[in-house]
Amino acid sequence: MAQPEINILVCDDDREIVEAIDIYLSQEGYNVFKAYDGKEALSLIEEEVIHLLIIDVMMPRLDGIRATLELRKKSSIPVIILSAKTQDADKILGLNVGADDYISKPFNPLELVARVKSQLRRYTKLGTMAGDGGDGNIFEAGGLSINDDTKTVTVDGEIVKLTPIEYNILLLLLKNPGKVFSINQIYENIWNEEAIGADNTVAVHIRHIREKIEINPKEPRYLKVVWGVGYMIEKQ
Amino acid sequence: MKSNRGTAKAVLFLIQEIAVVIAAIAAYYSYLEISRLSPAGSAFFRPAAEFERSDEFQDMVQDRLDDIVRESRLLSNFQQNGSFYGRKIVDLAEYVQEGRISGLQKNSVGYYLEDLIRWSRKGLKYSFIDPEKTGRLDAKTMMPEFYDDELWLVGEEEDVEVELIEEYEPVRGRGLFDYANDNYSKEDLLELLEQSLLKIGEDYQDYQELGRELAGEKTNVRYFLEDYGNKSIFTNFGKESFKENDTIKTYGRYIILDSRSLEYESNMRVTDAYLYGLLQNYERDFQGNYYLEFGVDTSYPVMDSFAAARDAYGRYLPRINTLLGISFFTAVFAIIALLCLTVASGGGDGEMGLMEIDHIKTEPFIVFFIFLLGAGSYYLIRQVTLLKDHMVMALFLLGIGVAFINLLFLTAYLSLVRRIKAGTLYSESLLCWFINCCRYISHGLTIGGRRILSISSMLLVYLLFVAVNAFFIYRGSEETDNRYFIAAAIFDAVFLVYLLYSRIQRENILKGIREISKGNPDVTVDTGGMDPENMALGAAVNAMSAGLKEAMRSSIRNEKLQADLITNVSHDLKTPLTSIVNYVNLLKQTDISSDKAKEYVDILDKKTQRLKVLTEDLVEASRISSGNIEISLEKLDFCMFVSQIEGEFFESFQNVGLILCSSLSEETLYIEADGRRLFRVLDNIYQNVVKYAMPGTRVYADLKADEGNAVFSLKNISRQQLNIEAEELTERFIRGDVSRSSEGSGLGLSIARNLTEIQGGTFNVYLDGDLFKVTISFPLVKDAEEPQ
Repeated sequence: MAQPEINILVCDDDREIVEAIDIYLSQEGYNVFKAYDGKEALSLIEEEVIHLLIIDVMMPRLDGIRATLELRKKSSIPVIILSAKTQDADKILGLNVGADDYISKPFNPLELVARVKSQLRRYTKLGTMAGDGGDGNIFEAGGLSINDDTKTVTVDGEIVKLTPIEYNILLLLLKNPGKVFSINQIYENIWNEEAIGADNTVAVHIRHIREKIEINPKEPRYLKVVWGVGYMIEKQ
Repeated sequence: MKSNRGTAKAVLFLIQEIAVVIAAIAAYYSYLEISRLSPAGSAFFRPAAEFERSDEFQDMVQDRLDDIVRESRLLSNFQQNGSFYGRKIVDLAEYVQEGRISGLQKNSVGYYLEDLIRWSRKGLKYSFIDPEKTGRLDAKTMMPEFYDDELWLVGEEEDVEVELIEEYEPVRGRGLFDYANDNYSKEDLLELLEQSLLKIGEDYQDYQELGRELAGEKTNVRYFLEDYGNKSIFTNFGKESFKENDTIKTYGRYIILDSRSLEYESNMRVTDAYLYGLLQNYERDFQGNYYLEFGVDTSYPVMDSFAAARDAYGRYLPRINTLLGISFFTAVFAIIALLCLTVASGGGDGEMGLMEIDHIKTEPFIVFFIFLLGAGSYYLIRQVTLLKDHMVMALFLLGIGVAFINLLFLTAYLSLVRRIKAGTLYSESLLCWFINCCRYISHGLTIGGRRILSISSMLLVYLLFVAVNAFFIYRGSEETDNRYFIAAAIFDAVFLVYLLYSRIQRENILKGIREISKGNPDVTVDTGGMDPENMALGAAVNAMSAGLKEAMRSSIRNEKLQADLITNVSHDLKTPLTSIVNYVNLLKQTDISSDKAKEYVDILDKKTQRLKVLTEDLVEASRISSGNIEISLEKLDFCMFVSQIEGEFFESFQNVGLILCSSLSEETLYIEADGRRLFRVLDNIYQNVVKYAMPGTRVYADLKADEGNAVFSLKNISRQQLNIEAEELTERFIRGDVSRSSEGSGLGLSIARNLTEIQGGTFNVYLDGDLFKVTISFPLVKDAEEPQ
């Protein structure tokens, strides 16, 4: 692990959860700081150089949402919210106040680690990638990027292998971020023939793409399903 | 039991009916017989062993006494010195007014007796004279009976003069009208003449008849009447009184009366008071004292009316007695039968034994039957009386009539008895109904002070309106002054404006109420300027809206509390669960030498995953069922939806060896649903299939349009036996496998159904053996515009 020391602050009022996360992240070689409420977390960030914050929402003294709001006034480090609140409204709130990801409890520790890695890669590496772009054939959304010249797909800097059909579907969606494509539209675009009735071929391909580019395919960050309408990649 | 009772009642009924008919026939038959005996006294018939003690005998005696006194008067009027004297002078006024012929002419005109008798037989003759054509037109004889009416009628109507033809002259030889003086006008004289002729005709006839009947050899009656005043004696014994030797007492029945000594002796029931009364009628004649002897020879040597009555009495009395006895006993029998019926009827058998007829209101029922009975009885009596002379017919008719009337009576009577027994006599009466109405109204008037106030104020306003109008119209018509009518019109117009004003206020209040009923509680009715009644109404509406607002607020608060509760509980469950998940994972990573320990950790891991699912489903289910869920409906392509879902489950199905056979509608089916929620529904049922379907079987997915609905169904063969009801499957915590050995929370189908229903769809589960079928249907959205 020849990488510079990375400091991660874990903040939850439940000490056992903090301990567990500490163990997982330490195994990955990260330096873990611990805090047990929002105030503590904010003061630690003042004192230490923190590269990523994992914070719970429901905490005494200062809750995660407020702490994130405070933090965003002076820092842009990645923030992953960890919460037992699983309602859409809670997630939207969390993302809106400046969090970069939202993981609902009880979470799979491996997923948490994956997301942490993903956030750190974007935070530390993507800034440099932006410099050598500019040839017009690179399409990206968040950590997802396609270089159409080299036909390579990277997620948070990691190269992902796709089949040609999968690549074409992803490219179609990524070229038109924010636009919803129906199954028939995708079919007609990729296969260049008229779609006859409803078919789950496209849906199966989409699922495969999601499994490859998403950390948790059930909660996709990039390739979203708009149920009954189609698929899309959100504008970032 | 019941039929025995019915039969017994029917028999009683029949017996009563027959008894009444027999009693009536016997009674009427005896009445007919009695009236044959004594037409006058039949109503008070009292049977006596001896004829002479009977009422009939009594009546006959009294009649005879009356005859004797009258005969004595006639004799003194028509006779002089013991024989009829035709040349006796009759003073018309004395005769008409006092009934006496003294033989002297007094104030009025006098005629000879024989002339008057003749004249009365021939009648009065008049001539009619038309004043315009002189000379007689006609002569007409008027019999005395018609004097009063017709003559003068003719005179008045035909405008003719009527003149009396004087066939007989007064004693002094001049014309009748020459006697006109201050006391008697011409008309008076003519009237006197007419009445005298009428009276003298009757008197002369009686004189002759009574003379014959009372002659000694024609009757069993003996009498001697002496007027002490004028020494006149009337007798059918010859002139000798037999008072000295008490001869009269040798007859069976006798009376001796002496008004001077007040001596009275009789062996009959005739009282001296009756005799004094009788003689009093002729007081003008019997001015002094008198002496009367009267006797009936009860050996009846002569066959006169007494003898005939005695014979009839002896003949009919036994039969009458028998008939009366029959009548009496059958009547008693009928009454007993009626009493038995009274006891037997009503009560007991079903519905208190009431019949249809017993539900007619009491008073009209009674009135109707009284009328029916009255009219029937009256008609019957009349008809039977008319048939008096045809006895068999009369009795037959009477029998039928009485039977019918008795039937009516029994019907009414027994109905009343049943009512009394059932206690509905009053409760089914008009009086009760009326009292209830009154009570209802008075109740309505007295509930709370406000009600009576508002009703009475309404009445007051109305009365005022009517009174003012009535006043103006009355004065207007009284004084024929149009200004009053104009005033009334102005008043009415003002009143109309008031009504409209009040009506508009009502409309405003109504508008407020409508607004509230639409669900907008922020309504206040402006009660300023309203009349008191509307103001009260408006205030009530305002209070209502305030109450509603408060209720809504508290309901929102409750909802929020509930949502918070769910969030907190889920937080408190999930936090420890998170630790467990994490540490179990850590355990798995640690190097465990013991195989057993590894196995335990595996079990822990599995159960932790299960607990995770369970917790999430539980929170979701309670959120849905408590309504703490936001639904945003959008137009969706149901076909594409299903394709997308199938894409998600493609691998899962393959992994467990399920073959998916889907037939989706060719045309696009648009529905309105919340995409993420609907995903949750379909996700649940597809996961169900993955979990519970028999591996290697086919799963059928169908989507088609059916009567305006998009109907999706998913069929599979269950891996395990499903021994529960379809309805139960969608209840919470129910799973197809009763042992609960498989993973899953038991909430999947419940959540799916609730979510579907929240989105306006229907969710049905169908079980047939191992066939498990879920049907989801949503109304189709017609507008098939291509979605973006």
